[in-house]
Amino acid sequence: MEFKDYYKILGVEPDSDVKAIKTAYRKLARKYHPDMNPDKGAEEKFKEVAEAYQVLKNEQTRADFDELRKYGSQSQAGFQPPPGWKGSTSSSRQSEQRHDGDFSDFFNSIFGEQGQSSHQQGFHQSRSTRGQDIEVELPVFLEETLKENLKTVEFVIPADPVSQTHASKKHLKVKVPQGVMDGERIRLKGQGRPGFNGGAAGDLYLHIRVVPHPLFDVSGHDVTITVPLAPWEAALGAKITVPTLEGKISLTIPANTQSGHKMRLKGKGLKTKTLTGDMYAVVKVVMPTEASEEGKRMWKELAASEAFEPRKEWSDKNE
Amino acid sequence: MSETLFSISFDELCELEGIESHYVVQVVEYGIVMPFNKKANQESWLFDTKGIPWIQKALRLHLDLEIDWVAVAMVIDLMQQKQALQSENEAFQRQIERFVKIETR
Repeated sequence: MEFKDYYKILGVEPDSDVKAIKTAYRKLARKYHPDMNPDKGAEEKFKEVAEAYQVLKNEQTRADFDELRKYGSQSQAGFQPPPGWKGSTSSSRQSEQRHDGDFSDFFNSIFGEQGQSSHQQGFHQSRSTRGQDIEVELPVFLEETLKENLKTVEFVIPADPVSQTHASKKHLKVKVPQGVMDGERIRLKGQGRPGFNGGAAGDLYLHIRVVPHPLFDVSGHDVTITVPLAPWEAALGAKITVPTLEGKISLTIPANTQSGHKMRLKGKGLKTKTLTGDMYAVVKVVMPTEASEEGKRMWKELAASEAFEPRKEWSDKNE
Repeated sequence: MSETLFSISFDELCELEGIESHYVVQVVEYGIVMPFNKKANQESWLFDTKGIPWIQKALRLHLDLEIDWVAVAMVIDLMQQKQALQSENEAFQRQIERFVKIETR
C-alpha cells in the first residue's frame, strides 16, 4: 500500500492552520470537481483531494495522520500501519457507511470506513441496501415519437462485489409513449441493480436520445425541413411535393420566393397527447452545377434584360 | 412489461442513493428543482425524472465544495442555461450546414 501524504496532495505545509487547509481544498475541489471539470482523470484527482481534506479538516483524524506520517513517510511504497495501530477515532464507527468505498485503501486501513460517513453526510445508508439505479441511452427515431412504441431494451447489470453477483445481460420490453422528447428520462421501477440484504431493487432509467434526422431539424415540437428549389421555381412559383414525418404533401411555392423564406405548415410537426407542433419549410435556391449551352444563352439573355441589382444595399451604404 | 414512468415521488427520491429528506426540501426551497405539485403536502410531491441528475449534482456541489444553497442554485441555473444554449447551438449548426457550404479560397 502506498503512503499518501495528504499535505502534499493539498499542497499545504504540515503546520498549516485549518483555514489554510480549507482554502487549499476549496481551490482544488473547484478545479477538479467532476461537475465542474469534465476532463478524464479530474474525478480521480478530486477523490484524492476530498480524501485528504476529510482527514486534515478534523483535529482528531489529523493528529492520527500526523503520528502515522512520522512513521510512514520514509517507506513510500510498502506502507503498512504499525502493528496494533488503532487510531483514536477508529473505535467510534458509525452506522452510516457507504459500500462503494470511494476512498483509497490507505485511508480505509487507517480510519476504517467511519471517516467516510461525514463526507457522505447527505447520502445515508441503512443496513438493507437498495440496489443502484442503472442508466442507459435509448436512441429513438423522430418518426417513432409520433405514436406509442414498443421497444426492446438490452442492457447490462454490472457485477457487484458486495453481493457477489456477476454481470448479467437483460432484455426488457418497454412502452415508449407518444411525444417523447430528447433528454427525457423514462423510469422503470425495480429494473435496476438488485437490492442487498432485502433492500429494494434500483430503477432503470432510459435516457431518450432523439436521433438526428437526415431531413428534419427539431426545435421543441416544431420541425424544419430545407426545401431546395431551382432558380426558375423560385422565380415563377411552383407546386412541389414535400416529405413530412407522416407521408408527403403538396406545397405551393409563390412566385419570387427568396432563399431563406420560411413557410409554416400547421400541425405537421411532432405530436404529444395534448399538442401538435408545426412544420416549417425553409427555401434554399440551388443552382444547377452545370448549365447546358442553351441554358447559358438564356441566362445571358436574362442578365441583359433585367435591371436587378442584388448588391444594392452595399452601394447605398458606401455612398 | 414494466410501467413507464416520468416521475418520482418524494420518498422514492430520498431512497435514491439515500438522499436525506431535508436536502430534498432545500433543493425545492431554493428553486433548484420544482415538484409538479409544489402546493401539495411534501410527502406527496412528485418530481420530473429529468430533474434527478440536477438534484444529485446540487447535493454534490453543496457537500463536496461546501458552497451554500444560494450559490448552488445559481451554479445549477447557469449550468442548465449553458446546456440549453449548447443544444440550441447544435441545432442551429445542423441547420446552417444544410444551407451553407464553406469554401476556402
